[in-house]
Amino acid sequence: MSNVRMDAKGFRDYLNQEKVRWCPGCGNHGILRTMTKAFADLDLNPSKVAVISGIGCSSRLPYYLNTYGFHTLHGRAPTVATGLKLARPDLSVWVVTGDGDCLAIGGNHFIHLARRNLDINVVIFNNAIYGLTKGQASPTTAAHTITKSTPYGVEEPTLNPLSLAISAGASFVARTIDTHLDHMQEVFRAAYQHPGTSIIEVLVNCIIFNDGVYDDLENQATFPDTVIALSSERGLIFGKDSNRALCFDPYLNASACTQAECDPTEWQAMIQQHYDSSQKQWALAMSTLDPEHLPTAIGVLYQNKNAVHSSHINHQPQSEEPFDLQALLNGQSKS
Amino acid sequence: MKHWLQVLAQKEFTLKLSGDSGDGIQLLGKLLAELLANQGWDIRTQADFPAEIRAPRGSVRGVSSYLIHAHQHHAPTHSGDHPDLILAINPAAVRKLKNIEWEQSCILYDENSFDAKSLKRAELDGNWLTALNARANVDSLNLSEVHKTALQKQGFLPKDIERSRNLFVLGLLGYLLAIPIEQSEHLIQQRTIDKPELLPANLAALQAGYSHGRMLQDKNPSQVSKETQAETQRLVNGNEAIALALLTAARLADRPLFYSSYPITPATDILHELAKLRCPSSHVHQAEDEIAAIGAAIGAAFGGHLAACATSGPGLSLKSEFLGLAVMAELPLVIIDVQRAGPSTGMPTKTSQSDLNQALFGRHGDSPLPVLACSSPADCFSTVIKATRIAIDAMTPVIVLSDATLAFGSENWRVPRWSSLAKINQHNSTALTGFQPYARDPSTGSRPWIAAGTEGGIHCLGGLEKEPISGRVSSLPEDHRQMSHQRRQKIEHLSHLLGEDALFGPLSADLMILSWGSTLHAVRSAVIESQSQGYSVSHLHLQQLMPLASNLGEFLHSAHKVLVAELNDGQLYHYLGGDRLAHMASYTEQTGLGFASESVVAEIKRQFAKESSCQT
Repeated sequence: MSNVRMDAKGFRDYLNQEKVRWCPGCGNHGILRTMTKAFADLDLNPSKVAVISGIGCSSRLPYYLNTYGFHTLHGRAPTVATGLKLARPDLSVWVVTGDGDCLAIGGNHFIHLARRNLDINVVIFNNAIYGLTKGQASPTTAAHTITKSTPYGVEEPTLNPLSLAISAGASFVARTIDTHLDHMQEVFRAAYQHPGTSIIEVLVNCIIFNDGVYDDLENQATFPDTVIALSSERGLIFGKDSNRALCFDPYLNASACTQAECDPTEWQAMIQQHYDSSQKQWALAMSTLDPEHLPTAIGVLYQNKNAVHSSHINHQPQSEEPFDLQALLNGQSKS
Repeated sequence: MKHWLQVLAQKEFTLKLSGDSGDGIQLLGKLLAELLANQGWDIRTQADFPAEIRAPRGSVRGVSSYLIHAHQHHAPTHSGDHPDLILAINPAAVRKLKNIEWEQSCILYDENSFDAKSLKRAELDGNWLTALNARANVDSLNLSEVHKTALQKQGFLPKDIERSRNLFVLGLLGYLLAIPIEQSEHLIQQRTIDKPELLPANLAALQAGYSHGRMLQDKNPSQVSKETQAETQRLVNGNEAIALALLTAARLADRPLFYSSYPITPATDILHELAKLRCPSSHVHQAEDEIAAIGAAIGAAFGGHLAACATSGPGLSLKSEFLGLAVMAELPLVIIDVQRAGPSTGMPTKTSQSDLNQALFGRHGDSPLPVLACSSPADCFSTVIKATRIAIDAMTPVIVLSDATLAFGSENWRVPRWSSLAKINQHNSTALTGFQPYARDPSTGSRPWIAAGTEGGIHCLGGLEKEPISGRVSSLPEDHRQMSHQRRQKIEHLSHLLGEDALFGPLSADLMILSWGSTLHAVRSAVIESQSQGYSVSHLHLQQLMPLASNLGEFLHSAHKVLVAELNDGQLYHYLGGDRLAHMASYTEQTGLGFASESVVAEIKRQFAKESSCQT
């Protein structure tokens, strides 16, 4: 135990005394807990963390944290986070948002946040429904879903937050699931360590208005067949007995096959093809796997470690020396 | 009528340069105004140009003009609203003249630019030109031809010759106004530093202009007196003054400046200016939209920076939801609205005072915030400093109203020593022992400003209603009542800090003219003129519109009659309840131009005539 630092924090150090007001059984509880665990694991100074949220169930999260927080406007958290990060690059800035907040009303800010690539971590609580306004369809609600605003089923196509983020220039894109807490914590850690904008989609269950939407992915019994956890250390293998593989043709169209369907050499080649998250086109293909026939990819789908982020091309020369304001006022310089 | 050369020989003159928007009139005007200011002249300028970047060439719609009112030392003898001399570079510029200009101004035009083709573009013909030449106040010069010949001799290409004509005119006027050629050359070198390939032709054109000026003056000798002033003063336009004020305010508050903005006419030059200056400890952020610009500013304010945005009416509309958040979170923010004629896109380059209602009331919920107005280009500087002071003192967003007249117009500015200006500090304690985010200072009613990242100051801000002191989320009736009251109180309290309105003229005048914003000069000139004609008139010019000054009520009650003059449909008049008060009247103009003081004088006379006809 000698390697445990005396001042090391536990996750409770990142929670305040406020009573959490999400519905019992809501997936958000797990995210709050895991986020504080990740903060503790990374030994972050709570005074140097700022969590900025928009509006919606997810966005109440900063009220429960013992860090700086700002519950802003519907869809606009990325703008406030951008200003804060530009002003205060010393802070670890997190954005907490939901599918409606981030992808509907805040879509414009989301793409520009990804484009600027400031070192901000964005956690999208995707429950595919508007919860706080009691159950309307969001841009990620699947076709045919019955909601209060779509009593005859959703008729519009959905929007994929991760392929949008990759296209817009985000340099770190990951997905995790509300019930896979260890996996989520690993994703939060990787996002924190990545020096540009990190976009994390957490698939989360809304127990009241869209219950069971991710059952197959969350359920211990089914998830081995419905989820593929990406890793640079293994092939694209999934399935209860690790007997299924995800394959891509030269056009990056995906399909799945079982070991039984392949000859042994073919199978060997397939399981040795490790996923490379630095390949943008592959990541785009991976972000859009059709859940009807294929598993949902979780983990780091895309990471460009070499992306230039805006704080590196800082527009203003930073100098301790104050400039000669009087000369400027007199019109003697910089004209 | 004076000969045009005599106009330029006076110690006070108003010159209007007018031509096509592709002729470089704005640059010519700005350079000439700056050179005159450097020579010690007092200068006021007004720009008027089309919203289109390239309106059809030679059309009336495409006319761009620049008005310079210049005088030396003594107080000006006239308002400078109407030019003594108009230099027209194309027929459309003449066609666009107002009636009063036809009557009162010397009109000088470039005869080489009045060929059949140019006349046709302005929808004019040879008969019109004949009639023009028959007028006593019209004269012409062969400017383009002289310029072209001089530069052709030196081997310049036609496109360089065409582009440098404005500098030929600058040289000509520079000579006649006794501006040393070295100063003109120096300024041109400075201003065209990013286009070195144009410099040789520009300098050649300038020199040719000076030579031609000498030739003209030798023919018609007249003398311009040279006087200089020792005091540091320079020419600024409103947008430059705002940019300089923001940098100064940040220095006075000892905080970095964070300026974020989205391009919108007529506010964009503030962004250009700050981006160009790249001052250390200032961040300039071009946001993806108007909403993001204020969002980023609020984020930076949360991080402890002095945050500011400038926009115009439509942009302010987009920002209004965030203004509600800034009121609720109680963060300091300076929002500058450079007003233009609206609604919607309206006339983006034309002035207006029609965002008053929006600034005062254009938000959801009860969300009081201070509103200040700038009265002149140089006053933009002091108003923005004042706005910053109250934003920090009361922890509130503040709206500063400027407008297109101020943004594009310039005047002499007596440059202050920044170190002699009062520091900008928050009055209340920012000690962290027992820190409570909404514990209010008893003297100002404002909460402490603790920047995110401060050890021991952890708190969460947000748009939800809070309980007093702790700032914890609450929707209890008593908490909302108290917090709403406190948010209102601290703004009303500012009237003590902002001081009182100053009346010009007698307290119990028969007529008090009430105005605000960029119309100060025109209205004041009109009041002086009316007083000299024996009318009992006073003038009250408001600089603070929310909260109103504590002595405004007294002035409103003391005057026999109050005339509210403004460039909108009577917004201040209605705000003050004028429609329910028998002794208040409204005088408005919605032309996209400022008031001309003659029209204000005429209105004053009309008011007196009405009054006497009522009495008889």
